[in-house]
This record gives sequence, structure tokens and C-alpha cells, in this order.
Amino acid sequence: MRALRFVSTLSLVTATALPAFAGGGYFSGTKGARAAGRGGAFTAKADDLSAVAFNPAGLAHIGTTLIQVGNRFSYNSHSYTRAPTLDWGGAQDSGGIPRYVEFDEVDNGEPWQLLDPLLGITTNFGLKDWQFALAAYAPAGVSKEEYPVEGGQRYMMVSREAQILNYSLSAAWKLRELFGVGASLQWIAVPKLKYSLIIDGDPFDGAGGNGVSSDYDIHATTEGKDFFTFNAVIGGWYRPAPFLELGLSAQVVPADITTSSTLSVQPLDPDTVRGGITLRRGTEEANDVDVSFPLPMTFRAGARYRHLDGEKELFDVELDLTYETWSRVDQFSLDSRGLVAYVQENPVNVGNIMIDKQWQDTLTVALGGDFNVVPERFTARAGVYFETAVADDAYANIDFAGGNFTGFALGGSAFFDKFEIALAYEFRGMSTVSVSEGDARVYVEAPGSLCTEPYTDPDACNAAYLGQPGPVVNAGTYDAYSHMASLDVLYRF
Amino acid sequence: MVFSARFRQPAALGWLLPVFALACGSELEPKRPSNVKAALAPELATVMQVTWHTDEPTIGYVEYGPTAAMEWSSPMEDTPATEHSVTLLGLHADTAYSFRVVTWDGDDAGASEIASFRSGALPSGLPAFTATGGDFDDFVAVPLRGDPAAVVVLDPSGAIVWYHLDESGLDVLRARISDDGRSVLYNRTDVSADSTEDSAIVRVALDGSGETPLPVPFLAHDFLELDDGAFAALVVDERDGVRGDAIVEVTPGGDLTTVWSTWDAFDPADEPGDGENGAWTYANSLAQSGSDGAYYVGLQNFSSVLKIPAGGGDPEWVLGSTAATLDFADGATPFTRQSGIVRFGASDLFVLDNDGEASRLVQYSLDVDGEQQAIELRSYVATPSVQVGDIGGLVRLDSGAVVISWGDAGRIEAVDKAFAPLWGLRADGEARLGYHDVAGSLYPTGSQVRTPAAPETDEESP
Repeated sequence: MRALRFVSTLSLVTATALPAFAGGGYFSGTKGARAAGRGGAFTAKADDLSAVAFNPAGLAHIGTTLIQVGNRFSYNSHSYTRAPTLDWGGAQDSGGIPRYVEFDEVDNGEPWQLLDPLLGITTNFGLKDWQFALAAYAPAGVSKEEYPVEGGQRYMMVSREAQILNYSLSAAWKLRELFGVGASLQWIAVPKLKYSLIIDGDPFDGAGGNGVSSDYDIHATTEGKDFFTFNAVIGGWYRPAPFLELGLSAQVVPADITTSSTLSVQPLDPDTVRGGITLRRGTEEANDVDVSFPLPMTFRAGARYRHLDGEKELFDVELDLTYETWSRVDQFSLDSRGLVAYVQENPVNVGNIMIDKQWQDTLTVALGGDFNVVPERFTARAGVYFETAVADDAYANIDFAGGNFTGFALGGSAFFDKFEIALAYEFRGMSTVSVSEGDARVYVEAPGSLCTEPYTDPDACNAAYLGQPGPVVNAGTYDAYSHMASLDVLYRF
Repeated sequence: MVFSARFRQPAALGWLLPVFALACGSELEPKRPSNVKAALAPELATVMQVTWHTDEPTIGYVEYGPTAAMEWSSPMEDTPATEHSVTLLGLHADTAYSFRVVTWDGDDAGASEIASFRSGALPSGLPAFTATGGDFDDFVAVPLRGDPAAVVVLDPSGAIVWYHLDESGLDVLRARISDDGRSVLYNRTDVSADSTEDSAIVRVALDGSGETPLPVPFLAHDFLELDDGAFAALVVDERDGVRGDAIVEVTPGGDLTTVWSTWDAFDPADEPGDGENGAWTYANSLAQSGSDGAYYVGLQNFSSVLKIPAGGGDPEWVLGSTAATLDFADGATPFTRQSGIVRFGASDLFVLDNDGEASRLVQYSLDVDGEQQAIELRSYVATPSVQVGDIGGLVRLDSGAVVISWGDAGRIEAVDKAFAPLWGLRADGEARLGYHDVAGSLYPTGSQVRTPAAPETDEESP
């Protein structure tokens, strides 16, 4: 009955964030207070509900029934200062001379994230050497970012919001204390995925768009949902000696999340685009689009040294490597399925809007451990990690912080009979990313532009941008850091 | 590779970062031009030369202005280079300016820090001008007749933004902005009874790099720059003590060819004109229009305007009081002792009529193939009225506006195509002006300066 009640509770959970338990790309930091306190070095240890994502085989360590409820609170700073540029697109309005334009720094206007839950139960149902788990959690991530609609970042992104919830059903089995295996089946639900940016909708601008400002700047917003994407995690551990434990896990399903969304387009200056913009498919008004973004596969390996006093573990130190295939993320794509935008009765094919990402695989190195300060009363833990950049600087973007990250964490657990209260503080900072206009490769989205590949037609393309789709809009300096505090309550019986 | 740790964090966490934040990072360094210098051009207090260096070949320009907004800019350089020099024009005298250099290497923009300079003081003796009205954005190049003889360029506020003193002792009657936009041209001459062989068309570089006289003996009031770099000029053609006029074409090398002479078309015995002391035809205005190469000549003592075919020959038509082949239509008032003329389009002729006490701008429509008459369309008299004397110039702008130099009255005025007043300048003292020219920019053809707003300056009138 308790299990059934717990399942019904899970169905009520709503959450905000983006998928997985630790890492870069869409993700940010580590989920679960005990894992977070070790800086994410948890693949081999994996002895609480966080194991459903870190390493399902680790559930077999638990050997009892455990209910775990937690939340992560975070402050996520992300700032960007666009590099100065020359306004070649507006030069005709200033005597043929492109203005030198400088931009103010912009900051994430929604830095506080108060709801980032983890909720689950694990039990062995009385079966020796088996363990089963049901969990729901919002993957560790920055759910919401918002920037000024007039800011220097606006051609990359104005805002995004993701509400994603992973439901996980796991099973693990072990052979004595020698080795174990496990698997999690995951159902990823996306109740809300919203993304907005400014596009240059000037149907008369054949020059590849204007990267500074256009009379036809249009605020394009897509919002949608997707209630089922399947994923899976498998894992194992092996204890060749009592003091040494090795862990391996992998999220091996190459999944994409594709949301059924709507597209809205609002001119920034309604006086310029009198009558607004109408979206049609054929002769019918329509605004339905598909938005898709890939998920990476993840491979984890961990080695843990256990310092034993008899059979009791006094402290441990774990070194983890995590490899994530972010190179699957070439682009975020919006398929309009033939929508045509009518701007003052001039048709502009919306086509497929591709936000180029060209991400690369990442490697995370994490080192952490627990120290039983007062056995069975208080445990302290700490960890550090380094994460390679998910995005080449050329594709740096304000939507997801893409540079090298370094982090550290401190945490501890206090035990009160069957309860454990776990707390963790984690800091995660990105090395400053700077990209010049010459190196940058994210261009203004200008669906109506007549400048098409290979972008060398001087009659259709701005002479200053020949050979490229238009002006780059992502040059500049990026900084990002997060402060994260996790609180989990564990009840074992 | 330099490994560094750099995060932007709250200060309270700063002590932790060196421990945990080992990573590659770098700040985006702007591609700033270096060694930026500004210096006054030789002998010009209102022209600055800005020089700078870039490590890589770039093109660039200079933003400048009397306020921090720096609303003006020089043209973009054409050719990438590492050593740069740009001339800043349109400056008011004795005024502080902010400026910065902007560069572009094909990918990245750069800019120097904002710096400042102060322009110099004007030479003594130049008049001050007071502007009225504001619907005018162009520059006016105009001679100052008398002592000192000079050519000045005035901005819409009436400030002298460029000047050249002619120390030859001769008069200066006509100023033009050269077709290449790099120079001011003027005639150095004497149109009194003692016309001079020492007259010349003078080219003065706007950047102050010097003057180049092209000798043209016996120059009269007016000249034109032709498409091929040559000039056409009115010269005095004196025979037996009677001073007629001729049109000569002068190559850049100084070779002269007489295209047409009043002696070819008229006989002083038959058409004596109303001149005195041997001044017969007194040609005082020369114009061209369209591509047929024909000249339009105003003969003041004949009170007539003629069309001379390209290459010379008999006039195609004559409008006026002497030897006329065209009539004035009913209701049209004939002009008398006119000065400036402008021919525009297929039929329009603008004349500065000096009949009576008040000079007037009058626009005729010519029907040379049909009724052979001139219909008066409209006219304009300044308020208060003025009599311009020998020289009063007209320039028709693309907008249809006409800019008038009311010569002896020391006034310049712009009227719209319906002859409604737009803007005016009035010189203090007894300044007398010559034939003028108008330019939308002081920078070379093909480049434009951003339309400047009238600057707010701390300049005091000299």
C-alpha cells in the first residue's frame, strides 16, 4: 500500500529543469544531496535513489526499503556582453558609414530556481540480493533563463523555459558483495518547453539580415510539450577487493525529444509592421510546429577506494570519468511544416529554423568522497570536478553555458534513527568564454533573406558578409556560475 | 598556452576560486587601433589629420563631433592598411571635439578610446555669418570678395568650416567643389577694365595639402569643370579696345582652346549693348546642362542668355533684350542685366534678374521648338530686397530647391522648388560674395558623411 501511495504521489510531481543527473550541455551540476556533496563522484558508490540515473546497479547496495525526498535550490548566473560590431546592415541609413555599436552586458533575469525535486522509493520486496526502485525527478539543470528583449543577445535567445520530469523504474541484482548489475527504464515527460528569440523578418532585406536592429525585428516564440520519450540506463559494479570498488554505467538510448509546439511571431515595433503577421499553411491560418532536440548518451566509470575498519567504512575516495555524446546536438530545429508568414501581405516562408549548436562530446573528471566523522551519526563529504566544454567557442550561445566548467562541493549527512538528513552545497563556474566576430558562427535568423548558399551573390548578400549567411550575433564574452544547495531526507526501514 | 583561472564571482567567494577554478579562459580583447594622433592640417585651423596604426590590415573611419555622441564620421577607407591617415572636415573653429577611430578587419570591429582635440582659430578678417531657418543640410563654398580675398566653406549653421586666403591681390569671383570632392576650385582674376594675364583657376586641396594654380589669361567671371578634368571658362576677348568675351576650354596641362567668341556671333556696331568704357558684351555667367555639351552664357550688357552648341558656332537661341530669337510670353517679365543662370531639364531656365532696385530669382519655361517663347513660372525677391550687382549665383539642388548667392548683399538663401524660403545666411559687415557651389558632403564623391546635426559648440564668432 505504501508503494501504491507513493506512485500516486509521483504522479503529482511537477518539476522544472532539463534532463540527467550531472554534467554539462543541458545539465548543470549534480542531483541528490549525497551525490552532489561528493562533486558527482558517485558512480561506484551509488547507494541511494540517485543511483537510478548514476548507476542502477548501485541500488543493490541498499538492501532495505528507502524513501528519499529532496530538492535542490540554485542561483544561476549567466551573463553575456556582445562584442562591439559595425552596423553594416544599417549603413544606408547613416550615409554609408556603418555605425560602431557597443552593447551592454545582459544577465539572466531568472537566476533563482527554487523547485528541482527528487522523489522516490526503493525496496527489495523481501528478495535477497535484489532491489527495485521507482523514482521521479527533475533532471539537474537550469530551468529558466530570461534576457532583455532589446539586449545584445536577442538574436540568439530572449528566453527559454523547460519543465521536464523523468520517471524511472529500476531493478538491481548483486552476487554477494562481489558484483552487481542494474537497469533503469526512463519515461521523460516534457510538460513545457518554451524558447524565444528575435528574428529579422524583413521581407525586403535581401542582405542576410541585420545583426544590430531591424525595423522588422520579430519576437518568435515556440512553446510546446511532449509527454513521452523513452530512455534507459544500465550499470554494474565490481568489488575485486574489499577496499576497492569499480562502477560502470551507460545511458545508451540515442533519444530525441520532439515537442508538438505552437509558434507565435510578434513584431517588436507594431507600428512598422502594420496589421501584424499572419501564419498560414496553405490557405488556412496555422501555427503548429515541431521542435526537436537530441539527448546525449552517457557513459560513466568510477573507481572507489574504501578505507575500512573491520567491516565499517571510515571514509572513501572516488574518481569518476563521465563521457557524454553531446556531439549528437548539431542543432535545435524547428520544423514549420510549410508555414508561411505574411508580413504586410508579403509571404515569407518560415521553413525550418535551425539554431546551430555543433556541440562536442564532453568528459567530466570528478573526485570526491565521504568521511564518517562520527560513525552512524555524522558524515562529511566533499568533491571537485572539471568538465570539458560542450560548445566550441564559435558556437557559444546564451541559451546554454557551453564552456569548461569547474566545480566543488561540500556536504554532510546527519543520522537520526531511521532518518538521514543530507545537505550539500555545490559551486559550479564556467571559465570565461570569449569569441570574436571573426571566429563566431551563429548568425542572425532571417527567414525572408534572399541571400542563400553559398552566400556570395553581391546583389542578394551584404558585401560585408559575403560567404556567410549574414552577420554573426554570438561574438562576445560569456560568464556563468551557479550556487546550488541540495537537501534530501532519507527514511530507511 | 597560458592556463588561467577567471570567473566573475561575488567577492565573498573570490578566495575559493584559485583553488578550484583551473581552466583555460581569456577576455575578449578588442582590436584597438594604436598610436592614434590628431593634428591640425597645414595652415588650416578647421581641418584635422587623424593617424593611427593597426597590427593587421584594416579599413576604418573616424567618428567625431562636438558632443560625446560623435554624430559625424569620415568616410570608410577603401583599402586595408596598417598605417592610416584620415582628414576630418566640417569642423568649427576654436571648438572642442571628441573623436575615436573605428576599424574593421573584415571580421571584427575595433575602436580606440574616445579622445578629444580642439580646432584652431580662424584668420582675422573673415566675416561671421548668421543663419536663419533650419531646413538645409548642405555645405556652401563661396568666394569672399575684397580684402582679404578668400574662398570659404560654410556649414548650415553659418560657421566657416574651411577657408583659403588668396594673396595674389586679384579678385575671387567663383568657387566650386571639384567633381572628385577633394578640392575647392576658384578663379583668381580681375574683371575690371584692366583684365589680367595673371589670372588662373586655382585648385586647393580640402585636406590643406596645398594649392595648384592653372594659368588662364584674362579670366572673366565664371568657369566650369568638365567631365574629363578640363575646364571651360569665360575670358575677356578684347579687340580694338572693345571688350567682348569668349569661352575657352583648358586642359589639365594648361592648353587653351577657344570654343566660341562673342565676336563670332555679334558685331558691336549692330549690337552695342549697354556697357560703358569699352565693356561690350560682359559675359558674367557660364553653365551647362545635360550631356549635349552645349554652353549657356549670360551676357550682362546684352541682358541676354544664349545657348552655344558644343564646339561653338552660332547660338542655338537667344533669350533677352539683345539679338533675341525667343520671345517672352504674355505675362512674363523680361530680365535685365542678369547675373547667375541655371539651365535644368528640357525647358527650365533660372535667371537672377537685376532689373531695378531689387534683384529677383525668376524661373522660365522655354519652348524653343514650338512657340519659341519663354513662359515665366515664378519669381522670388528677397526680404528685405537686395540688388546683387555683377555677381549673384544660383545653384539648383536635386530636391528642386535653389540656393541663391545675393552677391553684393553678403547673403545666401535657399528656397524650395516653389520658391518658399527655407534657410539663409547673412554675413556681418560689408562682405561681398561671389558665385557659390553647394555640396552635401565635404568628403569625396562616393563617400558621405553622416548627416550632421548643427553642433552645439562653445565657439564664439570671430
